[in-house]
Amino acid sequence: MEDGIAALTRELSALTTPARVRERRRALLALVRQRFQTLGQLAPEERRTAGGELNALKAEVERLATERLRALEATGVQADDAFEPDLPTTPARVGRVHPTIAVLRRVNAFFGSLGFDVADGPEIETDWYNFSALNLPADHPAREMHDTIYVMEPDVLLRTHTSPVEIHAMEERTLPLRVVVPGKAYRNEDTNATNNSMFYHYEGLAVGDDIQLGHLRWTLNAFLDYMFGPQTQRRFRAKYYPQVEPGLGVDLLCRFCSGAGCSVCKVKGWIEIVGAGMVHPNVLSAAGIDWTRYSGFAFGMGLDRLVMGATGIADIRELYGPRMSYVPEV
Amino acid sequence: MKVPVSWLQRYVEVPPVDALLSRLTEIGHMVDGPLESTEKGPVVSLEIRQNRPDCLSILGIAREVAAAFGSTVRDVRTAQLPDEVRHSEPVAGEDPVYFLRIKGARLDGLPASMLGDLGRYGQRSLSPLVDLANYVMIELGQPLHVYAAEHINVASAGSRSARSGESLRLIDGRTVELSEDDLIIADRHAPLAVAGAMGGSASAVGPDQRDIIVEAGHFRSRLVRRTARRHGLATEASLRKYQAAPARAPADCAEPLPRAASRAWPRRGMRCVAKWPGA
Ligand SMILES: [Zn+2]
Repeated sequence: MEDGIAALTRELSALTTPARVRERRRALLALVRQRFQTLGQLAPEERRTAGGELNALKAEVERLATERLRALEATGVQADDAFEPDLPTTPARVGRVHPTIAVLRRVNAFFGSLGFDVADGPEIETDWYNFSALNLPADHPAREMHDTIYVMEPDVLLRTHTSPVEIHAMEERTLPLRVVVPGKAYRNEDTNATNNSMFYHYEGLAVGDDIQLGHLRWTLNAFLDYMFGPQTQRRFRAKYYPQVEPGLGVDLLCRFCSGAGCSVCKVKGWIEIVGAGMVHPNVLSAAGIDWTRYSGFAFGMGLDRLVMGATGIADIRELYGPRMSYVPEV
Repeated sequence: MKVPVSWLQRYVEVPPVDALLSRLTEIGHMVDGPLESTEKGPVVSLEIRQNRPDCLSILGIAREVAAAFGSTVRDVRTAQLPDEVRHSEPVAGEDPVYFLRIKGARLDGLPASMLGDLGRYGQRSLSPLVDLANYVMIELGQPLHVYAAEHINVASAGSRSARSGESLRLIDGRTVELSEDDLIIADRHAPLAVAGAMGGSASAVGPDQRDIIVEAGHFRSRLVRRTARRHGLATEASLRKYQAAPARAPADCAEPLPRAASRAWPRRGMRCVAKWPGA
């Protein structure tokens, strides 16, 4: 041990850069300090001897280091341009695509392949676009499903779904029309593991001549094959949404319990993935489309649920909180 | 909504529970909770969507089951109404309300079979008359409110907007400050109840109440919803009212209670007496 320190001290005179000299001096002085702290365990006589030796060692380290630094300075080695390839680096974090955006792009790619365009729209909406035009007039009991955050009551609000963009799309584009609408939506909900006041919604709409329920079913089946594999069991059932008639709920067999019922699927055996249906005539009319001539289908889903399924992140708050641990170190 | 199969069976032949649940889910009433088993048979839990408030009752579900399985709903009017029972003309206005007087109600608890159904539905027993009103509400979907007859002036009672400055002490002990946006039941003396949501404590029926007034109303759902929301009165009754459960014919409105009462207490000499405004 003593020999080790002595050797390290002697090497001071052979180091090639000021940085290395300073680094070695720092390490050696730390060792000396450590030794001083153990002196208390020795008998008084031995303590005096050992203390003297340590003081000598410390003086020697200082002397050799100062001498070497002067010498290096004299030969013109600058501290700053000392390139030291074997020093460890501090780990770097590299930005990546957020998991939600990654899944969103995958879903967009699928619907893009079927000829759906991506539509965008404002996150601050009017009551008309967010509710009334979607067959949710004031005082409709289904408005209870939407706990709305108002910017200015009663008409200006944060959109509670991305469906209003579908109304904009129907107004602005020509038929036939196929769009998907990914985006943020907001609800005045208590935040917990499955609900967040901000979440990603993903809607789709096709309007044109003779669009039927069969087209919707084929499209959703193809989507579920693409996202979850053709072997994944799914079911289509009647479900009311004010924007559509008839309306559908589409569920996947719970992969955690295979339908027996567990805490993930809240004992239902199935996990709801998509809500869908044939666009209600009132909605087509509100967007200025002649519903006696054209028909359409629409579907919507919570993108976060797909993301949580794909990433294994079980708490939605983790997705949108400041969690650097999800950014991989490289 | 929880549906005890034993209760449903009063109205319709119930198929094996697996077939029942998968069919109801297919037609839009998704199973949304675990299947409970009790000694009187299973209790199923269904999600009733906002377009079907008519299904917020045992009878409503029975109609769905009958339609889905091609059977018929039984007529369960087991007890004949006493001749004296007459329902009132509705109090005029946009929120009509009906009153019916029952004298000499005998206040033993409900029979075990009815209490059992209430318990399996998830409604705890409070007092015989309130239990009976709850039983009718859950079975038929029509919320009823029961007043102590001596604390309501039926001749002047009806629904109206509250006036600012009025307040009402509720049966849960809270006092709410009313405003002109609130729909209430009141007589010429004072507010008596928040319409469709909760009654006031002054006219509440006590354990020995024998002379009662039953109220059944058809209120505009948005008024009930707003009032219930403003005062935090999300009750079983307001849920049915603010989802606009369909209006029932006047004869169906307040009569189920005496009918259920005569089922509950068949040999008691209960007299139902009609009483209507202006009489
Ligand atoms: Zn499960």
